[in-house]
Amino acid sequence: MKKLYVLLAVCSFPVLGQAQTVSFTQQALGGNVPYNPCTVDMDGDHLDDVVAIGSNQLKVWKQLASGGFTLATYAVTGLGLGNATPDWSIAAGDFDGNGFTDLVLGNGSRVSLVKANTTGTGYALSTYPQNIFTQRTNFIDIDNDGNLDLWACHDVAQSHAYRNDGAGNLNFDISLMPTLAVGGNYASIWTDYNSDGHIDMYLAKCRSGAPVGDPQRINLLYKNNGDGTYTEVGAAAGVNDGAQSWSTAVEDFDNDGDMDMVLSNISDQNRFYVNNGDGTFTDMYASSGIAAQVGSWELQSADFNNDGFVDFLWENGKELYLNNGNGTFTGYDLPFGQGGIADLNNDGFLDVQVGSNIYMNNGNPNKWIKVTLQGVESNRNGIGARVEIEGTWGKQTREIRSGQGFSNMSTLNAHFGIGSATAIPVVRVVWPSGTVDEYLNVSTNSTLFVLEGSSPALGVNNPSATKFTISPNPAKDVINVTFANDTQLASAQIFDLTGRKVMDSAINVNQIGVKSLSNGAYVLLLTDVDGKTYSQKFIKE
Amino acid sequence: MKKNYLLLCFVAIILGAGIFISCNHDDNEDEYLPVSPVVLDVTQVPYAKLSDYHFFDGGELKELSPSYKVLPYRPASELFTDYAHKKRFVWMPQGTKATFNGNDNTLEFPVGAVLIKNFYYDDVLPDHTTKIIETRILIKKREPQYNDDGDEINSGWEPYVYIWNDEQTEAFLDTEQQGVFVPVSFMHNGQQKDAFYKIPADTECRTCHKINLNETLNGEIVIPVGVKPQNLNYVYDYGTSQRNQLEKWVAEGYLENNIPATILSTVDYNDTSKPLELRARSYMDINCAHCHRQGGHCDYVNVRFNFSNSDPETVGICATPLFNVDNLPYVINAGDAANSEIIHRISSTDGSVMMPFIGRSIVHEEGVQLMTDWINSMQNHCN
Repeated sequence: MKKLYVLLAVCSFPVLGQAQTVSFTQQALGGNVPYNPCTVDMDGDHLDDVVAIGSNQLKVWKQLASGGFTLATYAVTGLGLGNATPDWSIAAGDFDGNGFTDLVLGNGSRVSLVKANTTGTGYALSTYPQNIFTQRTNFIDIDNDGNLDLWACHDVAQSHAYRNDGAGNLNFDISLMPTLAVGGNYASIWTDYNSDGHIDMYLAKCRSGAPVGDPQRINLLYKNNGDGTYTEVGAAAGVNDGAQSWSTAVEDFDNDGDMDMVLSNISDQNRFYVNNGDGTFTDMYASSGIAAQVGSWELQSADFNNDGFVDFLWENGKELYLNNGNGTFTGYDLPFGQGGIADLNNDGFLDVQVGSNIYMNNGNPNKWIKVTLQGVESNRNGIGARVEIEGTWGKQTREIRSGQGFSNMSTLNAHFGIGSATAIPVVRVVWPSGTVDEYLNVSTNSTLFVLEGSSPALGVNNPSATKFTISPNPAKDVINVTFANDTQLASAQIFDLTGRKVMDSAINVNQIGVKSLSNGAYVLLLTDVDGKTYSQKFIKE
Repeated sequence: MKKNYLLLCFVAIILGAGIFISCNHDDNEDEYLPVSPVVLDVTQVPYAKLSDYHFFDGGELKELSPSYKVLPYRPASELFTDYAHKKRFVWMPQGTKATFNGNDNTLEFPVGAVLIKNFYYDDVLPDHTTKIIETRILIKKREPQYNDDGDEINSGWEPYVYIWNDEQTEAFLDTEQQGVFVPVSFMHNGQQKDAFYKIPADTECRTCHKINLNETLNGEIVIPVGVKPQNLNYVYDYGTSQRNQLEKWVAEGYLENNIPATILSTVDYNDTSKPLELRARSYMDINCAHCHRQGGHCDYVNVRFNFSNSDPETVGICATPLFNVDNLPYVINAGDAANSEIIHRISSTDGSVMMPFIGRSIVHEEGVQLMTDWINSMQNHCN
């Protein structure tokens, strides 16, 4: 059964100048996703999958490169039973860096992990003993040591942090991120609000029955001091709202290079905080065109019509607000107001999965680009990375986040619409490590895979580049690797520029045969005996 | 070993529980007036073991046979907790009593008062045994404190949980306070039920037992929920007699005798001889209204489910839900239970959908039926 929901959003943009249509076709998933949707790549092919927590099993509808899905079912004892359910939130991230995505389940009593094994053929459930009325969960490298930590908002007490010990374990440790020791913590969005290269965190807070001014309901902004500690600056930044916030969409809504915020509140009014670029924000809700209704607990953002401006979904009367690109938004009705947002048919338009349905975006003539990431110095998923594209539209910015909105998990790929533009002069990835990868003149309507530190414009800021050299480059039969120090290599992997792994071998001499490769550009990823990784690009001819 | 009988001889007292002691100055021997064996020093509680309090010295601890002056009670309408049975008791220090504070407000208790609530199943599989899981107690440890505006900022009540051992010989104070899950399968009306019973974490005790009546800064206080005159104005079978509980409490010296003659009262929602609406409203009061009332945990949702609320709109009838739910236009969709938010929520076990979201892991089928019957019986439909 297919239902067609069409909404005509005929808008004109001075910059991008393309009339927009957004329509979705309801399509049966072929199963049901109970609890909160999770649409994320699970197996490292950078195609978004659909994840469902079943009883004693994990179900993954894996997106096929040829289109459609194949359902993989994994037995996981205890999953989906008792407190091992993502009834309040779900988030995804490869916290042990083995190439297969792990999950965190935010339950009303406990936090659980679903950890993929080294081959991605099985998953193990573990549940933390601490009581927590979990709200938003995130995988995020809180201390920027290259490993994903775990964050869990607590509704009725101080929120929880879990420190990654670098050996594949996340240990409960509030000292990693000691936030205000009161409840009311609903949604944490990890964002570099002041564009200083360090991840910060905005915390939406809500406490029913608490008076105006009660710290349990005043939103907080934790600014990264750059040394693994954070300072709360909500008041100074002008975002210490107290109107019972459930969720925040943090995006560069005006494409000026910094992050703005839309807040979904339960009392008084919502907010549209526009970033002033100096560490402060100004509420522009009154002139935003967004209706005054409050009471949505979800708020998720994405560019649904590929016009180059980020839109948002929520559950306040009009489910979809399209960004008009001039500081205003226009609301439209949809049969859904939230879900897992991802490109589930790999057509460059973002779709929404909820319950037993996928609302497949029918697309329009607008062009797009997707950027998929694999971290090396930084965490494997590139969570916390900032992806920018520059062109006739100016600049667009995305941040890779595990856990957006209040409860769902959307794609970890960066997606941009570019309207009718015909070229993408610059794609830039600023990694949590500080590495910058830059690609020039990238094709429209394409997916760019970026392995950290591998861009052609090497040396922009690539720690790996100072550690080893490749010769010859271009190479014909073999490449020789020379390290600046006495690094002992364990394995080498070679990827093509779409992210496909074309070689995977153990090595103990610093020479790698590449004769069998087709001519073209590749990325060499080296792992030493201590598990550290290094990467560079080379040309095979 | 504490002395259970206090030497006392100044007045003759007839005790309702059938204990008669005469007291006469002229007697050659001193006469002993029974006093409660309960040990409760507010500066020392919580004790490590349930038996330390001597609440149940009438037999083996697991018999929950109350000591002298430990008085059983039952609200007319009971909270659903995964079909667990409950035995509730109240005790107060000698010479102290509670006072009336409105039909639908918790009684004002004296310092040292304790409310004891035992949770058990009596047909636990596989051996059809009785299993006591936990004993929750609320102790009023100190006089309430108020801020300069006169708003209460500390009630003096503190919650504690005692977890029973497998041998059912003792219950131990839960010092971890993280909550404990006890999967339990039992028979209920000939049907097997499988619950993922949770002994609550400390924060969960406080979530349901807190109120910030005047929405004051730091004004969240812990209060008992069930012990309101509207719920206690109900006949209880004391074994030797059946009496209205409020009268009984007065007779016991546990309640000041200034109770109004007429009390708007809840009913036992299981009692099918009572009007459907009263049963449903009683059900909502005890299962929902500790949060869905002014100052409760779900204060910002504009419904007030307390029994005393007479405004249909805030009772939820034809009221628009705060949170949009597909195809459920009203909290209570009069005449259409299937499309009512409240039925959707009390039928769910998904933590972010279900109501209540604390205190149950399975659906209360009889409660859903009651609410369904009531909503479907409504003649004046919404719109």
